[in-house]
Parts: sequence; C-alpha cells; structure tokens
Amino acid sequence: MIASFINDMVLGNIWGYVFFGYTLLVMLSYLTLAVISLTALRGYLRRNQSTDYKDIMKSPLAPSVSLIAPAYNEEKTIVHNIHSLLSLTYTNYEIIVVNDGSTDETLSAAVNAYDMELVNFDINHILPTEKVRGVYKSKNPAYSHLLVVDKENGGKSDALNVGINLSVNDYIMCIDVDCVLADDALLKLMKPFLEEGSRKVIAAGGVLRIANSCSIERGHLVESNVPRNWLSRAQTLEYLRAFLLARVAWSQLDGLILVSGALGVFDKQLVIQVGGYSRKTVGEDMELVIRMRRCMHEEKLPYRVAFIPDPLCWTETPETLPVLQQQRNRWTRGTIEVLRTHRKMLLNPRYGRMGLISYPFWLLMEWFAPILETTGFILAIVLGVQGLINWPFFFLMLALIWFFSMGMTALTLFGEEITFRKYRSLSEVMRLFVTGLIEPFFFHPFLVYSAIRGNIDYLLGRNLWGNMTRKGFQANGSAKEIQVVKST
Amino acid sequence: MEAIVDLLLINSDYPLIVVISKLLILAFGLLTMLLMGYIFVNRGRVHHRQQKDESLIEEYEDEIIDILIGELKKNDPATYQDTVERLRIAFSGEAIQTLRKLMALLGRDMSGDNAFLLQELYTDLQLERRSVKTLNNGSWEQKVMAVKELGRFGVVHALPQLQSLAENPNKILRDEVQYTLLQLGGASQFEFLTTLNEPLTPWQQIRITEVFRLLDPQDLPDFQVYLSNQYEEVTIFLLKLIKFFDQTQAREAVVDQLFDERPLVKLEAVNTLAGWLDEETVELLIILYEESGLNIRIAITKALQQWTYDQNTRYFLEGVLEETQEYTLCMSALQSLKKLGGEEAIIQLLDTTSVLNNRYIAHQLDERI
Repeated sequence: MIASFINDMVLGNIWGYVFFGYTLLVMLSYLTLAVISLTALRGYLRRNQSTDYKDIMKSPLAPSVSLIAPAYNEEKTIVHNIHSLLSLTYTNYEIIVVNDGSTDETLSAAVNAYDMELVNFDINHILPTEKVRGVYKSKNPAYSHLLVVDKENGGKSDALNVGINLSVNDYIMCIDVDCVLADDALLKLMKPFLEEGSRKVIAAGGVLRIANSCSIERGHLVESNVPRNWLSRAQTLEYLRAFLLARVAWSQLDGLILVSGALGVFDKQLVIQVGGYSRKTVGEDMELVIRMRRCMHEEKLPYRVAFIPDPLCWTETPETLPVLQQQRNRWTRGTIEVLRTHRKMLLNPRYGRMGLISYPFWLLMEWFAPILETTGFILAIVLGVQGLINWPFFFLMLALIWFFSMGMTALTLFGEEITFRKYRSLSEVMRLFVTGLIEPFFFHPFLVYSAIRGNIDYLLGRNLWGNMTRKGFQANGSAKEIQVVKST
Repeated sequence: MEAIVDLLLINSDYPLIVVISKLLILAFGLLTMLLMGYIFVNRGRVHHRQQKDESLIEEYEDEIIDILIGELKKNDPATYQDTVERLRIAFSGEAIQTLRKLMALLGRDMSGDNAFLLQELYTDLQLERRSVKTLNNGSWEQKVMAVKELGRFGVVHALPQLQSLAENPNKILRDEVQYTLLQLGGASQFEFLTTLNEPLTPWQQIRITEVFRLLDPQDLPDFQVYLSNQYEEVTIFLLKLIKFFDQTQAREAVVDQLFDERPLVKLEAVNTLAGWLDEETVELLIILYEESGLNIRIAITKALQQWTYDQNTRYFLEGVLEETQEYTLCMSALQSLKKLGGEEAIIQLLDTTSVLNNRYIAHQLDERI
C-alpha cells in the first residue's frame, strides 16, 4: 500500500491524491467548524444561563430600536404578523411596516385592523428611495409605536431604506414580516451590543428555524414540530446545520459575513454611513454586512459581528420544488453579485479573516462547489456509458461521502440536543435523522440543480426575485395557499 | 479520455485511498452511532427529570406559599418546622436545584413581609449555608448562581466572602459579585468605580441601575463625587444616574461637565441639565450652542423645551430655524417652540422660512404623530 503510494509519487501519478486530499480538506473544514460551533454553543449557554434579560426590558438605559418589516402582497398574514411584532418583550422600540407597493390588500388590511389614518409625516430622506405615498399611524394609543408606510414598489432593499429614513432610534432591526419572532428575540439580540467593550458590535444575527407544521396562534409560536412535508423537513435539517454548525463557528472565528435578511440588528449610524441597503443585488443582506465590515476595516476600527444561537425567528419555507428552485436560484445570484462586487477582498490581508478565509470559503464552497459537483456528475454519466468507471472504487467514494453526511447529521442533532432541544419527542428527532440519510440522494442534487440555474440566470441577466407560495400561520391548519410574487 | 478518467480518480486503483476511505467510513459510522445513542439516552433522562421536577413543584409550591401567606413560622412554629423538614427531604440530592429555582421564581414576585418570610425560609432550608459554601468550592457557574441568590435573599453577613471574589479572574463572576455587593452593601460599595481598569459596558450599567432602583433613595451614593473619571463611559453613566434619580444637589457639578473636553460628556451634561434649567444655565447653553457640533446643538434645542417662553428663547429657536435646514435640528427647534408657545408659535412661521421648514411645520402640527 505504502509502496504503491511511493510508486505513484515517483511516476507523477498524483492527481488522484490531489482530488482525494481536496475531499478530505472539505470534510475536515466542516468538522472543524462543527467542533468550534459546539464548543461555542456550550460556552454561550454557560455564560447566559443566569442572565435575566428582563433587566434590559425594565431599564431606562435600554437602547432604542426600530423594527423595519418590508411587506409585499402579504394581505393574508399581515395582521397576525404585526401582532407578533407588537407583542415583543421590549420597551424602547418602534415598528415600521413598509408596504412596498403591494398589488393586493396588504395596506388596507393593516390600516383597518389597527385603526390607522394618514398623517403628515415628513421623512428625512437620508437614503435615496422610491416615492413614499403616505405614512399611517394608529388612532389607538396602544399602537402608538406602530407606523405603516405606503410606498411605490422598489424591492426589499428600497423598502428597508425607507424604514431607515423613518427610524428615530439608535439601532435598526430588519425582519421579514412573515416571520414569527420569539417574544424575547429583541432582548437577546440587543445583549451583544450592550456587552461591547473594546470592539464595537456593528451587527447581530440570529438563528432561523422552520415554522412549517408548527403550531402558531396569533403570531406566537405555541409548539415547534418537525415539518410533515419532506421538502420542508430536509430544509429544517439544512437550516440546523447551517446555523448551529456553521454560522456560530464563523462568528467565533470573526468571519461572519452574512446576517440573514429575515432577522438582524444593525448599528443605524454605520448603516447610513455606508449608504444603506444596495438595490443592485438580490443578496442585499450579505452585501450590507460586507460593506459595513469593509468600512470598519478601512477605517481601522475594532469591531465584531455577533451571532445569537437561540432559536429566535420561525419562518415558513417552500413546500414545492418550483418555489424552492426559485428561492435557491435567487440566493445563488445574490452570492455571485456580492462576491463580484467585493472581489477586491479576495485573499486581501487588509480585510483580515473576512478577506483571507470567509471570502475564499464562500467562493469555493457556496459558488464553485455546485459547478464542480455538476461537472463530476455529467462526466460520471459519460464515462459510465463508455464503461470506463472502476465501479467498486466509485461506490466506495460515494459511501464515504454518504457516511460523512450521516455523521454531520448526527452532529447537528447532537448540537440541538445539548442546547435548545426544540423538538420534544424522540420520534421527531428520528424523523430528522432519517431525512438526513436520504437527503443526499434527492434534496442535495436538487439544490445543486437550482444553483446551476442561478448561475445560468445570472449570466443571462435574469434578475427576478421569484415566487413564494405561502400557507400562512393558522392554528387550525386549514389555511389557503397564498401566491406571493416579489420582483425587483 | 483516459487522462480524464485518471484525473477524476474513477478508473484508478489507489490502495492507500481505499484504506483511508474505509477507515473514515468506519469512523463516521461509529461517530453517528455514538451521537445518536447519546440522544436516545439523554431524551429519557431529561424526560424523567422534568417529570420529577414538575411533580415536586406541583406538590410543594402551594405548601411554600401557605408558609408565607399564613405566617406559619410565627403562628404555628411546630407545623412550620415540620414542613421545612419535609421540604428538605423531598428536595434532597439533585432535586435541590429545583427548589432553588422555585425559591428564585417566588422571590422575584414578592416584596415586603412576604419577601422577608421567604428570606427566612431560605435560611431555614439551609440553602443560605449551601450558597455560602459554594462560594468557596463550586464551579464559576455555581458561584454565579450562589452570588445571585445571596443578593436576592439579602444575606448581608455573606459580604466578607463576596468581597473575596471581587477580584476573581472570571469576568462574569466578578461582575455578579460587584452587583451583589452594591445590593447588600449600598453606597459604600460604589468605590469600585475609582479603581476600574476598563470602562463599564452598557450591560454593566443596566445591571447597576437595576440594583440602585431596588435601594431606598436615601441609601443611594452621591453620584457627583465620582464624576471625575478617566473613562468617559463612566462619567456619562453617572450623569444618567444623577438625572434618573434626580440628585439635584449635583447641579453645579453637572454644569462643570459642560466644560469637559469630551463631546459625549458635554452632550450628556446638557441632557441632565434639561430638567433643572435656570436663567444662568440657559445663557450658558446658548453660548455653548455656537461652539458645538450637531448632536450637542440638537440636545440644547431639545433641552429648551423645559424652559419658559420668553423673548430670548423664542429669538434663539427661530434663529436656529433660519440658519439651518438640518432635519433633526429643525424638528427639535420646532418641537420646542410648539411646546413653549403652543401651535401659534410655529403657525406664524409658515411661509416666513424655507419650503422645507413649511413641511417640517406641517409635521409638527399633526397631533396624531
């Protein structure tokens, strides 16, 4: 065996080892991230087990926050979603719902439900945006901290920028209006900003969990369940892996470049300083964080991007393949746009770990990996047809990848078990495990296909936001499907 | 084609790779079995513990509340002793953590006599002794829990042991000790501000403020004594405390902070003085306005809302509107004018200043905003 290896080296037959080495490197990097995450998660729980978040809520020193929630064609869910935001446990905050030129009754639903009227609000146009048609406030004093803004359609970034222009507070929290937030989400997300010492906290992100099949009443999560739909179940596992085993580690390594658009708190002054959300990309969330980080690096100021591993935000995921394909297609286009815009950072030591580790990782693992996988897949078919494949070796490699994937699934479920244990019964955990065993054969190839479609659409200049079919959160589970079409 | 086949490792025979792959498959398989096995066992354990905790709380919660409401210790000492003994037996071993949580939960919502009785029960259940012991030999998390409890249940005689932990290398424990020292020792423990090695974080400031909110106002430290601090964060925090606890005796010391070189300190001094304006201070603020940046100008304009509507103030605020179109500054000047002189004070400005100001005036005139 060793003699064969030496012989291969002498003969220059090294490519096999190079490819295998690359595979091992990928596995090792994911395992390393997982170990860092699990350690960080334990540390986070130990540090915060005796934290009384109510101290923030009661304090006159609590920082002020503006929640900005863009809404586009959300007529079926908007009322309950605003109710969820109104119920957050925090004192010093305002809610700004931005109706981004919806073509349905989103605006009237919100205006009627919360007894709102048009007011003479004069907006400070710090960031350029589409025209604002009007600002609504409630006649009911109980909703005095709620604003609904009606504007012409300009996309999610534009709607968020309008919210920033209206905001009067020190921090902004950007959220998807269709998400359900944990009552203490704001308290937990604000804590890193309060703990900042020598390094300024510029942004904080939180974990997204899947709300499909969960029991939700009037905008509150009552019971978390593993989705019944297999596609959503596979996404549940995917989100758990991404948030619990990756982003926690990236935050720990000071390399986090993505704070999800569905849930993130930002230092408003810095957001304005860098020009707000970019309207030129569909990856506006990642783009903003990178621009903020670049600004801090260029000004040589110490900073960090925090990440809270608690399950704070529950979101509905696509349950059909076409909708999932559009979502992932958009994510791929967003990634390409952002990586292209900030290509100057690649391996540039000026940007620290962001340029030396995070950027290359995203380039190779997020953008390039699906292309590599597809090339391999096509070649395998061609060579298989020609009878040129050493099948035992081929299946050994497949088995290695499958076992690795299984190990990562088990690590993910272990991470959940030692931390938040959101899925109460063992049978639900086992369903997730089984999903993890079969997803490499169905779900993962579909994601690769969607990413390739995203690459093609990017090259062809197709820049649509895509469709989202939503069931809405209804207690009786009998909700109608809602077709939501967002465009930029 | 053969080159591609070799390159892709598909038709090759690499014994070393085969062996490594098989070993890795075995390792991942074992890892999966171990982790899933842990989950399986842990689920059962957690479920069992939760059930036990719930039944214990259900069984004894009412009994504890009876002790407190019925003042059993005073009215029926024998039954009280008996109940305490039963509680100690029921919550022995691991279950003691459940009792501590239950006591903490009850303690949070109680005040006055009930809180005092709960403190006595805490001592009689020997939880106090246990917590003091933990200060010497527990892990840092256990120590933090113990420190919190000692503060919550007012165990003043634990002060010496707590003081020994004030310099502990663990920051979380050190901070918790500091809050508890303030809680139990009051003003005298505030001296730690003079020996800080780093500025207080906003989180520490919030925690300290919460401790002070629970103290009797006469037990509060005189915050002005500590205003000269090397860290601006600390001085700003003290100014906020002076304002929040309305320590009017600190007025002169706060005025002095208007001459501090640090802009953020000046800004907070303006905010603090807003509630205590007199003619001399207003004059000082108007002079300061001329030489200050935007944020201090906004703060001064807002502060004048608390003053009287005399001719000087009116001229000053109208002058602000004439010389700037900055959104926040104009809005705060208009707000102050409206607060002092009523709607008429800003209606008369319509069409006399810029178009932008007209829009700002419309905004200010809308009572619904």
